[in-house]
Amino acid sequence: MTTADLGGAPGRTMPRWLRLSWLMGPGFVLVVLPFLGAMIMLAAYSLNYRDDNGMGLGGSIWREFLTDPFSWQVLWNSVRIAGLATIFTLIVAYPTAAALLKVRNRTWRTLAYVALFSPLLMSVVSRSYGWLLLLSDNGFVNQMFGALGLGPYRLIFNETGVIIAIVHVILPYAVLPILNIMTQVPPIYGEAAKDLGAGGWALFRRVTLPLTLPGVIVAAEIVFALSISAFVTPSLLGGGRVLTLSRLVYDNIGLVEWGLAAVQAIVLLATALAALFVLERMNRATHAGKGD
Amino acid sequence: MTETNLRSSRRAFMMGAAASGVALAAPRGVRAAGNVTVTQFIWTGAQEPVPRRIAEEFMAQNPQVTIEMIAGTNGATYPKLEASRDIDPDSPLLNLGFFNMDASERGRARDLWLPITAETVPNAGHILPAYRQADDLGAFFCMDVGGLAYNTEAFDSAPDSWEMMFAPEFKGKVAFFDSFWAGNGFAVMAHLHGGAEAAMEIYEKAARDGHIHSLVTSNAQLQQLLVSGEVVLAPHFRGVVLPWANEGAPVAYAVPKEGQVAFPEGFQLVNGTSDDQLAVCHELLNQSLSPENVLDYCETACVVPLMDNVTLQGALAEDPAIQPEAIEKAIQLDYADIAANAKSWANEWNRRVKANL
Repeated sequence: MTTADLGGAPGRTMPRWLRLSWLMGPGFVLVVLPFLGAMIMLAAYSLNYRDDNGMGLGGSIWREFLTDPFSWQVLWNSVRIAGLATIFTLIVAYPTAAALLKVRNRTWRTLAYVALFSPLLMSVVSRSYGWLLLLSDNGFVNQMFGALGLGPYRLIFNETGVIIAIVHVILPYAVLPILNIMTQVPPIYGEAAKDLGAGGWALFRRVTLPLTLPGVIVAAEIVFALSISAFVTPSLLGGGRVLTLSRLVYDNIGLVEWGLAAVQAIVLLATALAALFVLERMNRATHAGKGD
Repeated sequence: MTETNLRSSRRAFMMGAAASGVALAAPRGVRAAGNVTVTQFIWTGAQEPVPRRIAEEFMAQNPQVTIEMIAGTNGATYPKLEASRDIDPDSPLLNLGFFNMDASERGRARDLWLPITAETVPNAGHILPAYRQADDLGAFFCMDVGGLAYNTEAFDSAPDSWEMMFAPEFKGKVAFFDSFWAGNGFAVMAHLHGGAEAAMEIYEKAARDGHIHSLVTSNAQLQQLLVSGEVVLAPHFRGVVLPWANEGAPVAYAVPKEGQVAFPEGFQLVNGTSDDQLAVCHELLNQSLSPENVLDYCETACVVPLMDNVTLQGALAEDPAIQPEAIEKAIQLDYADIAANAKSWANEWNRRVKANL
């Protein structure tokens, strides 16, 4: 693209760095700068402590957090819940994407997309209270179990309810990348496998899944990052039983313990980044396996 | 007095009081120069309509004044206010608002408030002496009382003791607010059992024994649990429970024999407010503390007035929970102590109660 393309003087080429600045500028200002600013602020808060002698600079808050077994227990809880939510989301998202791929009727496809994205159209608080009504001991789900002579089961105010609600809201984020990669797999691969005698399971295991694995890993990255930082759902549906790091961050902000909240927020971010790093390495390995 | 007479006399009283209020407020006006915007923090739910009405009336009387509202909870708003003062002491998030004693004591320790005196806000002079704040930091003009909220279908007679929260027959049927020391019975149990450590042991044992159904974070959660009968007993405030009962829910409020928790509520004026804003805030506070507005607020929010020129009317006035002897017997919590210990209690609560649920 030249400056003429952008409406500038003909015959003069805009330098590459300037073109890149034009293109990346808005994103940089809206995303990167606030993120960097927030990280610098968090780092500064995490090193600022306040005690009976006043304020000071040092690593005492970090030391307090990292040497406390309770911190690690809560961090492990957060990772475990995010991991479980990721696994269950992928288990639901994969067949959902496959089904969406096969829907040819435009009306049905539109309706399916509306249903899929409906959790994102309402506030997380309203959605959580909806789950309270559905999953409570006297709620609709337990009434259905009751009609079958089962239950009631405790489906809410524990990890079960939290994971169900998280899976519900992040499902669209998982379906889209999987669906995207499924549309890129040429149907002829499946037909060739069938011609060579592959059954349904073998076709899935040896052809479809390996070819769509990069989409699954991207979905896992998005879902894990969203799940580990989920706050409202564990707070409202956990009933105090689901201790996560995001909840501790909120509690400490409420107590005006900025330093500890900053340390916990940085640890939460670092954990999410570490998980993304591992998943991205897996993603590259799948590409390398295909000779990319 | 018949119901019709009662309504008629109350309406006449309100109309007369409103007229006198307007007459009193109109000539004073606000002497601030130019346009002034002040931000007021209000609570949601039943506490919301009256401050909004007063603000609308004030802006109609003073066209140069804009009153912006922030509606929320002390828990969510107080940290933002303190953060805004840390960033710029002369530009606080809000200029005046409703705060409970817990937030007030935390703010006092951080030099967050300005005095509200009878000189600058004449109506503040009618606050009962027992509820005036040291250095006039705050105008606590009303009070809610905390007791036991229960499902009426689960009890033959109303629960009558704080200790019933931990009675074995209610195992798995009791809920508490999470980390809300004045509202979840913790401060009361500490008061009754000789200290916070004793109270923490009681809650820890209850958590380990599966006695606690859940820890809630909102009124709506607790309402759903109590109405459905999943939870039959919980400590909570009269001003929150009565509107639920009035809507027909099978819940009621009971006064524990050990005494209810006194929970004063009122205004704080925020340090860092400019002189022009202060002039507006003083007038707005004075109007908000007029007898008719305080009465309207107390009736709407089901709270008890703490002013010598305001008396509740009708059935509300006859509620046993707010009779003089009940109020006199109310447990006066040390909110400064609660504010000072909030961090360490939260720490222990997380490790010993929540981790064992």
